Amino acid sequence: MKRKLGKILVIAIIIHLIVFQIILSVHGDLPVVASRISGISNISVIADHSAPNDTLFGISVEVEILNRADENQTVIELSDFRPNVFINATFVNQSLEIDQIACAHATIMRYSYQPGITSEGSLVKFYINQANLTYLPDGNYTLWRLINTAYIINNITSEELPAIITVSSGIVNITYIDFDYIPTEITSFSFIFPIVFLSLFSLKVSLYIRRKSSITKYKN
Amino acid sequence: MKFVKAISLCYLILASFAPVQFTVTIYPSSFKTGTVDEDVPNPAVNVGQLQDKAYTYTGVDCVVDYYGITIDDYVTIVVIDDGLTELEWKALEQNPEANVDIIGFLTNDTEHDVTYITNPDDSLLDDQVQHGHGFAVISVLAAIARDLKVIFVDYRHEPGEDPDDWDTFGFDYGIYEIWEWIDDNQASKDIDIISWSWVHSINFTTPAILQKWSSLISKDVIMLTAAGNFCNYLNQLGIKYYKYQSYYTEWYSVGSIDHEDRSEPWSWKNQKSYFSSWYEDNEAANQIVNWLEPGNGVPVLVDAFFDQDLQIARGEWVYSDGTSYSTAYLAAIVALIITGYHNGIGSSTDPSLDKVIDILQYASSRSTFDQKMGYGYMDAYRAYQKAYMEGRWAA
Repeated sequence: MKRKLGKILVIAIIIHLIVFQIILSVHGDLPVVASRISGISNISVIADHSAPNDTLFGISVEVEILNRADENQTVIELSDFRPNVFINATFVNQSLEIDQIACAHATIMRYSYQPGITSEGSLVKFYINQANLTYLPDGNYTLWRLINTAYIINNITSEELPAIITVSSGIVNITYIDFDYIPTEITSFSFIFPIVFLSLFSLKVSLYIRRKSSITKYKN
Repeated sequence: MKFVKAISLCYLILASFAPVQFTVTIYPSSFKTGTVDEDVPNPAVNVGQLQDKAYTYTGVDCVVDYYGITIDDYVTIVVIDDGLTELEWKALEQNPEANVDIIGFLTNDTEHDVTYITNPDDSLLDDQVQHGHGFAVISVLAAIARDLKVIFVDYRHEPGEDPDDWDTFGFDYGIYEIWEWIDDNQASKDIDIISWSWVHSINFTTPAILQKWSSLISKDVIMLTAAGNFCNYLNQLGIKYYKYQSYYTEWYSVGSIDHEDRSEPWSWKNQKSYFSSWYEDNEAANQIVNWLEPGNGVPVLVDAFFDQDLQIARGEWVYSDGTSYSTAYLAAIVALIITGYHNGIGSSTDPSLDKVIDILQYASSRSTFDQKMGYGYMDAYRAYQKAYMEGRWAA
């Protein structure tokens, strides 16, 4: 019996070691809150007469916010950014420059994110300093969703996963980065397993104590 | 066997803690309860009688509540922000604790014509999207500068992706017509103060706009802007610097001071609030933070509604934070200064801009300039008293 229980214990430890490593790789080293650009559509020129030497573009962006924790996370942002998706670009034609239209109210904002993924949309508008463009000039455009600007205060790790638009000879390629995230199952298993382990261990210890006391009793 | 037991026990402890370490609540507990996004208790006393510490810190309670100073008919402020709904407009005028007089709403209508409306029931406002920032900022003015006349300048706001959330009218950035209108109407509307609590990512000035700003200064208009909340030098975000009006020498920049130990360990009472940005240390360039006012837990109005019992429009007072509110706070003190001068001189003759700045410097908590704190915060009682005496001496 003792040998059998010992084997069960060893197997339990090995299984737990494996699961524990998975848990660590899923949660432990990764930021609690993350954002990613999950979709880009409708890249278009917007009619605008206020800047005759520039072209105004608009890009519709879909965003996902991931909360890897098991409860809501409140994230403080230093300003009310509109939009909170940002763009930067490097052009083949180095005389070109990008100037995004964005504003911010000088008000501290607090956002609560539920566990898992929250979706939102945004419109990114920006000028490129060349008139009458009909499509994006060749270059690399990086878009990211701002999160956790008050990182010191939030005491929360975060990451912003960008999407990259590559334009070459007018052909557009978009690269998205996925979250390193497997939802719910592992998290719930990580709760269950220590309980199973604890039960097995307790059983073994109680049997061992009972056995030892009976031996002592027998000896006496 | 003992060794196995010890290892197993250690492992058990580790294993049991494993999931817990990912579920710790990390909301910053050192923020004081009741300071941010929570209701202001007993608004009739804390706002109506200015007994909240955000007010008693600068002594505005003494000037406004104890001495009963309300703003006279010869002080007008222009507030530039994201819009006011009909209900917000009415709430700012009817709110029982404190209110202002919104005398006009300047916007670019759907035909892109400059439109000035004076009635909150105007059909143009039927399509006004509720944003809330302008409402909150003006409520800070209302609490301190009772009965102040306000002209609201409406910027067009396009938050999010859904066009239903966008304004269908309002001024775009860099529109010259705003400044042309303010300059042309400065005398007839008796405009003394301009308050602007936005930041923009692109350069929005032109030589023509700069010329209008100079013109307004020559007419003794004081222009106040928020220092920004980026918690750093020049409001840097990534590789970009957000261009508050603080970049221009025509504007006086207002940061936030903590009036209590509200954000330990990031900032303490009498210090610059942790979020408040700063600028140059060169006073001559004037691209500086000039003063600080309370902005970390200030009562503001949100969620305008019609109170069926009282048959008035009103809002809920909650604590909010940001240099937006510090700017409105100082603008309200400037309104008190101008009223004090009027009371001293016995007429509606305004003090010069230089005189207003002198009074602000006189009543500042710091006699020397600090890059992050400017000249500190204002003692409102000293400021009002000095303004009144300056008026008496000029009479």
